[in-house]
Amino acid sequence: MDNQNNKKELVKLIQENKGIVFKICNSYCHNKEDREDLAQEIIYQLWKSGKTFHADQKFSTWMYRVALNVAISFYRKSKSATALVSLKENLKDIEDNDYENADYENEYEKTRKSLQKSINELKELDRALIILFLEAKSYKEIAEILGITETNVATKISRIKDKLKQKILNFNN
Amino acid sequence: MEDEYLKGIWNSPNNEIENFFNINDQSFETIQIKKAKSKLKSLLFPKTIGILLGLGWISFMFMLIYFCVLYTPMSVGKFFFVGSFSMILISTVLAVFLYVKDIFIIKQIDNSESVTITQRKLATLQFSIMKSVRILWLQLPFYTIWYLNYELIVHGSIIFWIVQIFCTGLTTWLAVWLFKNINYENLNKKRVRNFMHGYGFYSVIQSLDFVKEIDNFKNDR
Repeated sequence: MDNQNNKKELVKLIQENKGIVFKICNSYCHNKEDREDLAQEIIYQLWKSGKTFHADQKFSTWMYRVALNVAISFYRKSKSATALVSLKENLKDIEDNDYENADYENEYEKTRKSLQKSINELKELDRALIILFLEAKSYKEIAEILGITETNVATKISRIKDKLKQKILNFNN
Repeated sequence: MEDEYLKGIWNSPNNEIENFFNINDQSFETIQIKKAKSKLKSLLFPKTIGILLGLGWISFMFMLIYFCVLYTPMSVGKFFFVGSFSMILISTVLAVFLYVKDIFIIKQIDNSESVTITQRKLATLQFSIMKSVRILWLQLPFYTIWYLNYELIVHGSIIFWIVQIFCTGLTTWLAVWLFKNINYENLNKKRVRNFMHGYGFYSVIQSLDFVKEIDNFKNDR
């Protein structure tokens, strides 16, 4: 993708799939600034990796690979440096959000928040796996994105799902 | 709690997505320029600085050896001086070579490869600094003998010899211990972890742990 048309096409595809970027940023970042920075990093890396995308590939599969790789690297880089600050900011974010949403929060919304919180507490690779599962990707596609076997995907998903459900119940109670 | 219920929640319409970003050609250009500049400060930057400093040190060592060989008469002192700095020069060249190799690997990293492959390469790169440091530690004892000459060896006092043997012995033991112990296989040994932690190599330990985590993830352990 090295000419103007390809650039336009990539911009269009990113715009169409920006939900993927949003969900990944939300799952790997503690605060708003980091989320925006990671989104920019993902877009930049998608552009840089553009030449590795082939027409016979599914765009979303390729995009998940790039976005998850960038997100995990970004998370690992910023994890130790910002651990203390982020914790404070994160707590403040959560308190503010809870206050703002207190009036209309229902069970569904509560579970959505608990789900996101529970995902954010998983290990980096488990987080990637569960995101792909929730995005309703097939085991074959998940295996391709992560570079593990389909059997391994099935075993891990079942294990992580149980962990996740338990966490959600704990958050909700 | 059913899987479909969770998937439904995860994929439910979300206004935040719409407001998250709106990318157009112009904002795309801005991101490219901004990120291309910040990339210079990433993994490549410390390695490049390391190579430049290493090359400066190599040039300095080379000049010292060159002028000593050409312009000083043969003596015991010359033997220690040239011998020590030659060993320091060789280990620095090896360390710089490893840094250059890392830069080639960094250039080849492809984010569109599968997550476990790319992340393993990146984590390995982060602790590869240890390979260079291990080699650099080997030069430590040579800094304690380069100044020895005939006068010191024959007429050195007892105190001089006690200090000399203590320093050379200690640095030799330390260099060999570090070279043998600071590696991937010994990561689980408590004293190796404590040593690395104490000397600011926390990020290296994290990278090594992450490589293990990736391997376990791939092998379903």
